Amino acid sequence: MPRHWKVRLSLAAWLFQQMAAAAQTLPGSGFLSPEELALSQDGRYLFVSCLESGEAAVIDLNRPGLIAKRVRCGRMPRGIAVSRDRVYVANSWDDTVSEINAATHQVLRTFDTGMEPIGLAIDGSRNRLFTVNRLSGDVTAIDLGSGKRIASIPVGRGASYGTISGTTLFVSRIYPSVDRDQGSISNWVGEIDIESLGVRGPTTRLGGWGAGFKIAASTAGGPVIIPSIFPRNFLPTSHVDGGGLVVNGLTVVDGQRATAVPIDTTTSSSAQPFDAVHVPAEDALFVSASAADEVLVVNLRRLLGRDRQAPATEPVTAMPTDLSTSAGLIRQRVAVGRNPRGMVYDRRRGKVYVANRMDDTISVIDAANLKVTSIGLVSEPQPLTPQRRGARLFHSSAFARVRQFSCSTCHIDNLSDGLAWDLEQDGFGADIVATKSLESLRLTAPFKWSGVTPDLATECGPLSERYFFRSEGFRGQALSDLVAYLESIPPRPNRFRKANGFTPAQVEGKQVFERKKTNDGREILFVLQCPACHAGPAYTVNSSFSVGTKTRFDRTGTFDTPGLINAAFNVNFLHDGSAADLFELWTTYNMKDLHGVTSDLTKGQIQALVEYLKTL
Amino acid sequence: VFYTVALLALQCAGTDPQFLFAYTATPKYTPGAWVQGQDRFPEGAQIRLSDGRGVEGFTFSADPDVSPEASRILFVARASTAAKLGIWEAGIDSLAPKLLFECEEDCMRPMYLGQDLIVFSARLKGRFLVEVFDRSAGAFRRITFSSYSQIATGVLQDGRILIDSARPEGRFPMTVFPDGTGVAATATGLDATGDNHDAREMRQGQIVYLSNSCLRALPSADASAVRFPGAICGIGSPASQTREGWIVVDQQISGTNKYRIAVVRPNGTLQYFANHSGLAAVQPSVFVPRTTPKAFPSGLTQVLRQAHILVLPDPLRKDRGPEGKLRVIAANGTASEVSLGEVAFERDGSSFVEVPANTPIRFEIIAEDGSIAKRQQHWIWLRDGERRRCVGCHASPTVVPPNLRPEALAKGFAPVRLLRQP
Repeated sequence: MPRHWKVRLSLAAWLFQQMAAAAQTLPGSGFLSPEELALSQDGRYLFVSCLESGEAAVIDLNRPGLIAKRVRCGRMPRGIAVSRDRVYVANSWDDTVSEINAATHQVLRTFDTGMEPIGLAIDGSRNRLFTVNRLSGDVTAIDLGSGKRIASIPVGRGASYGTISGTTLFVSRIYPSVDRDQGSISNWVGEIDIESLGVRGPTTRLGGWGAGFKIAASTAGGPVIIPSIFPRNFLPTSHVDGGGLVVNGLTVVDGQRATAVPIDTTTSSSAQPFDAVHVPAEDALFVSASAADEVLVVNLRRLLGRDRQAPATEPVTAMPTDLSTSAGLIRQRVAVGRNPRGMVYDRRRGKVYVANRMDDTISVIDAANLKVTSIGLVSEPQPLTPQRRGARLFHSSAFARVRQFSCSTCHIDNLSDGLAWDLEQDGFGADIVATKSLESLRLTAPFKWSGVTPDLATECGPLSERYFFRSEGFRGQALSDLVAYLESIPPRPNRFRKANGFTPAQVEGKQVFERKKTNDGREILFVLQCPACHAGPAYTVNSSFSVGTKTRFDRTGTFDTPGLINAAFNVNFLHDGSAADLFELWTTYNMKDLHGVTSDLTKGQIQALVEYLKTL
Repeated sequence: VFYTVALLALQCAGTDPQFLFAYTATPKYTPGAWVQGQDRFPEGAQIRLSDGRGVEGFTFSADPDVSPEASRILFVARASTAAKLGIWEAGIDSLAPKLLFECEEDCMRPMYLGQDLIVFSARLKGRFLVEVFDRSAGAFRRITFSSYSQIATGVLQDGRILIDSARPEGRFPMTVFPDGTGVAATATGLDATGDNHDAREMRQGQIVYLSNSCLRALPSADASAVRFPGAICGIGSPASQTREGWIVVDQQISGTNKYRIAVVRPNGTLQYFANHSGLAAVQPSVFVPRTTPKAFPSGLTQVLRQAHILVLPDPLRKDRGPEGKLRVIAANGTASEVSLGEVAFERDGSSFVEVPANTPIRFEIIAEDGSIAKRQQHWIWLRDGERRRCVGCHASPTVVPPNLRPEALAKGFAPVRLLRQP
């Protein structure tokens, strides 16, 4: 064949490939919102879980200009992991995992998991998949040979991310444990023996630790490092400077010892650290700071060396107390795209890939010279909607003083941080209030537990800038966009409401919820009947009432009636978060029958009521 | 020698740097005279521009400050010998002046804040204090309450105001929000007994200030001092900055009371502007756009007439337990001071007190034997309704309090009231 024909044929083949690839980009399908990344074992493909489009995007790193394939998975895919020839995607709203052929990119099987699988880890030697489930607070172990669930291991509420190092699955939690009597919080890393599937103990607990996110293993069996948030919820929120509301940092767990270091300085913060990857060639840890739109390059030797200087025998009970320690720790702050989330290190190419959730791109950082290039996930960027612009603002720390936090720092994934805060405008030590979930907000005005904020524009505009950001906050178009986003946040799927109707317990609970007489036949005052306050589409009449929950910290006993949609997924209950669960709400915290009449209910009836409330 | 030869060569070359700036031309400049309540320009002054133009129609004009978008200047001026001093504004094109307001007595150093606000310093009963003028509302707000004279010297990009506090030990830079809340020492690394003053923030965030009239720099308003490249002394006014980031200062000619404008290159060398007028050229303000300072959303309630302060234990100080007491001292005029009372620390070292607002106060830690274990060196104040917390009394701004409920708040809102009027 003449040479010029060969050239023409090659060119035609290349054009065909490009057209075929372009056809995969599904223009007009909306935003992808890349969340996490995984690399195929041969290093050719980069797999991206895409939150909003419900897909796994596949990028051919030999031709990184376009998405090679978009694989339909379930709703809200988050965690993604790769075995020898399979890719696994955690569909967090479907409580499933999709198994994808790493070469053909076809979905092969779907596994059931616990509620809201977030993180994934693979034990290749035993052919097991672990999912870390946030709402059920457990780890599901799946045998990949049979496809069967072989264990469900409780690890505590808010369990979200997991990494295997040596023979241990480390699990982090986004919700800390709260000691309300002592006025302190702590968190720990769950440790599961991947062979016996038993929980290792005792847990390594760290005082002052709020949320923990993804986990990086420095070496097999060595210390693990967890991007973390250290809140100041027991102090009045009057100051932002000097780690006033939160300190962003890294938790290092080494055997039975846990320590933490800040990554903030007095003048600039690296808000919402999310993922960390070890880059051995540079002896560095790359950390994505989601709300700061940057990736930190952390001196790993120094991080671990400093950790070893801590007392070896004494448990560390508080997070670091000096922001100046971050100065020698961070080599560089690398600007990437909007809202950097998951990362992966490509050892062959010496690159770190970063999923930028809020602009549908992948940043590619050269690990040696830290130069950044970008891969677009869509051929043409979607026009920004008010909701998308609002989401960008919600996840950005640009508005807070010293860029210390974003809205999503406390409203993690639109829910809460599981904490109660001493908000300053009520006075120090007064009116401690729990962080609310943001789902179905549109139906629940007025806002704040006091019910004094008439609308979201007031809450997110002048009030937030005065009492949270302490700096020029959301105004004008930005405020409108943020409100548009907040009003668009949908509720998570309710796992307790089955398509085939109520269970007998739920039926009984509904009768209790709607009852007008006590068990012995006495009339219940209308104002003490559940639907008197919890009615309407969001199960709130949008007014404030006193239900006997006033404490010594409260100036008033009257609180806004919260909606009940997805109440089962709340981390805590009542205005100050004092009730740990719905059962406790009707027992410990309603002794005087001021929050409805429940003292005559049997334990079974209360349990039935709880079962019904879970379906709302 | 090389340095001097290089400077002489530059001067001889006569090639002025190419950028526009405003400055004050005066026969005599005594920059620190305000500390004693005296006139900085005893023989008069006039604002000039480096292109040869001037702000006309005044018997006196000084203190030019270029707006963030670099299209206007603010200044103090007197239209006639009989007229009061006022704060004026003029556009760069026409230089047509517009009176914003007249001052009761002396006033100085007007500067642009964000959101249509202007900060300036005014003399009242022999002492200078700092006020903020809201142009849209036509309202004035006093923001400093100290025993010492205080003037504003600069505005930070985050909206805070840099002020000089004229203590007997020497001037000391502090920061305060535009509503007068959050007053704090600029940096703990500064020598508290030295004369540090005239701080300004540069675009990259570092603070350039004067220490005994020599240029110094801080990495930021909250950080410790760093060395400035080279020794550059004899500076009279806060620094300005060119588009390229070069620092522009007024430097006294050695052995004279004359000043001239100079550009400090990044390597520390100076280039002087030719000045043939025979007058001192001081207070350079470069016409270059800069970031408009962020608005500061005040959280003052306007309801409370008192203020609250929560003292938290310094987690880095393991040597001090809860023994002893916290004493609050208030200034009574300029000469004397009075104790507002003492309160015992809680077991964790915390303390929660209510104090009079808009009053100079400072803290002392009283040891068990009644001696003063520690004394706060700076007077601070809290605005009416302000709520503050501090870590220790002198902890570094890098120190973060632990996330534990302070015992002083264990009973909810129950401050110890120390409201005796000084």
